[in-house]
Amino acid sequence: MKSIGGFSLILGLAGWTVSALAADETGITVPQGFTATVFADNLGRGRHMAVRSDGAVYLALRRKSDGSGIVALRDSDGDGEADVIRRFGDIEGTGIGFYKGQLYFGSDDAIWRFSFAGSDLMPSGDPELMISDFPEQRQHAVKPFTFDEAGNLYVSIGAPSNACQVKMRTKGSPGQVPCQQLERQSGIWRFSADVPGQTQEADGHRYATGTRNAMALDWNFEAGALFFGTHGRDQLSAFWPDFYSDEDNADLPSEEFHQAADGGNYGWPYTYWNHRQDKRITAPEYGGDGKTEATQGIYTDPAIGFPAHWAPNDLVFYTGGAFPETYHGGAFLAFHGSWNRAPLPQAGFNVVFIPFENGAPTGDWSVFADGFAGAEELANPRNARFRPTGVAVGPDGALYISDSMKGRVWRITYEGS
Amino acid sequence: MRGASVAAFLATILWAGAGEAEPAGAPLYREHCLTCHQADGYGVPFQQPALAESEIVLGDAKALIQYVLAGTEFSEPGTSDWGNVMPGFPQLSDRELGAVLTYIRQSFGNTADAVSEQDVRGARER
Repeated sequence: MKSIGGFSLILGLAGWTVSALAADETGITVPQGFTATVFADNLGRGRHMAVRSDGAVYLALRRKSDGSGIVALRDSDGDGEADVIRRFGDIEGTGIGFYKGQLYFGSDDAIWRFSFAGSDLMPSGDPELMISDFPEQRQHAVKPFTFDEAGNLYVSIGAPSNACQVKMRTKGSPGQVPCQQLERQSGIWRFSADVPGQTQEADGHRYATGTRNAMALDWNFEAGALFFGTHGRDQLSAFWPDFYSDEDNADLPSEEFHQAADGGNYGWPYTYWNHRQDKRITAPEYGGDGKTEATQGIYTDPAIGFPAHWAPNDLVFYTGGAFPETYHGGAFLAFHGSWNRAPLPQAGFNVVFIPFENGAPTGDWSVFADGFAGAEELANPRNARFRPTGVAVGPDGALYISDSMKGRVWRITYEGS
Repeated sequence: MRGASVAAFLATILWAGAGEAEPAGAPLYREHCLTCHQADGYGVPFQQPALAESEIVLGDAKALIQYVLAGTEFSEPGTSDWGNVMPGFPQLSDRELGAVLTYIRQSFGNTADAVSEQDVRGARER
């Protein structure tokens, strides 16, 4: 797996060199035959996006901008650039998505639903409160979500810590036994998509556990399954220098990409995945020494282990018909880019494509869109020009990518080669 | 090639003064602070705040000492814009805390007074 990923990464970098000129105009590079255009710019701290069946694009903002946390974009003359830009929502957050024509939004403490009159760009009133009473937390507080075909809504609830240590983010501190943070957090919870006024405790079902921060999730209708990418733990060398060098920390642990199953356990905080060895390793907080393998039979192996700290922030399956056959049914995964590789240079800041065959990933992933960071070697992510954080597919098959630094939204189309 | 570029990169973040001894706080900064607050002291957007130009870092030394001893884990929810949480560092000695706080007050363009071992002892006893 590692060699395949590495090979694809080299191809991606080669592509960057070839199309460096294009990057000057839009800030990013895409494979030959594809065109990136700037759909909208300077919208705020962009997060996830949702595209309605009429092509209207909605961007969630992590912080309100001009008093609102959602931006509505419409390209009314069809030239590939939004010409109507409106703002609404006295809430801010990350998760956003359409279900039966209504817009769901995940602030850090609740899931909301906006309704629209006909094809109005702006919602018709205040949002309904769909789900509330999530545990209060600072770390990994975002509430991204997705829907299945059976009327369910899946919400990722992140871990309120790095590694469930007895002493928060402290060198040498062991893990809590058992980790209480798995009870209502560090998992993916299932709710009814249609029922307002739900609470996590009364109405939620813990669908998946052991996910530290599964920000990238989407339902695959071909497989009839939920897939997700989750952020692996930080600071192996800072807290456990006897077992890990700074170089080890820069490469480990994997950012895991999984097919989820009801009742599945994905390993946090007791274990992590090592994509160099294709092995699940016991976390140092739980007696590991960097080599000890995890107990077999409890935790699910990832479909793909991506390089460490890249931060998988959003996932979308390509259900459009406008891209070449290879892309049909595959997944786009947006990596926000690392901070935890320090003191080594940061990495990620790209959108990866994962081909699927018959609803299963082939593992032969490659970098699809790149150049966001704007510098070949970046010490601190704050100096990145752009950081990809959301991906969505429009009804015409265009791919949208959002950015968290300035709030740029790109539209990617295929013109043919 | 990768090893060489990593070494070069690491060299740039080490103290660059010719013949000048590295400040006592520099290795402590690398050990306890750098990953989150970054080599340039400017933190990470939305995750960890900058130490450079920071009011807390440059302000009253006693308040800074107590802030770092306590950490931010138990601060009131909704009172912080930062997604991450800083642990307290009571396990560091008075000498170590003085050195690393002096380092952050006098690096990244910051120019505030040094923090002494005695300052830390006094603030800790309170």
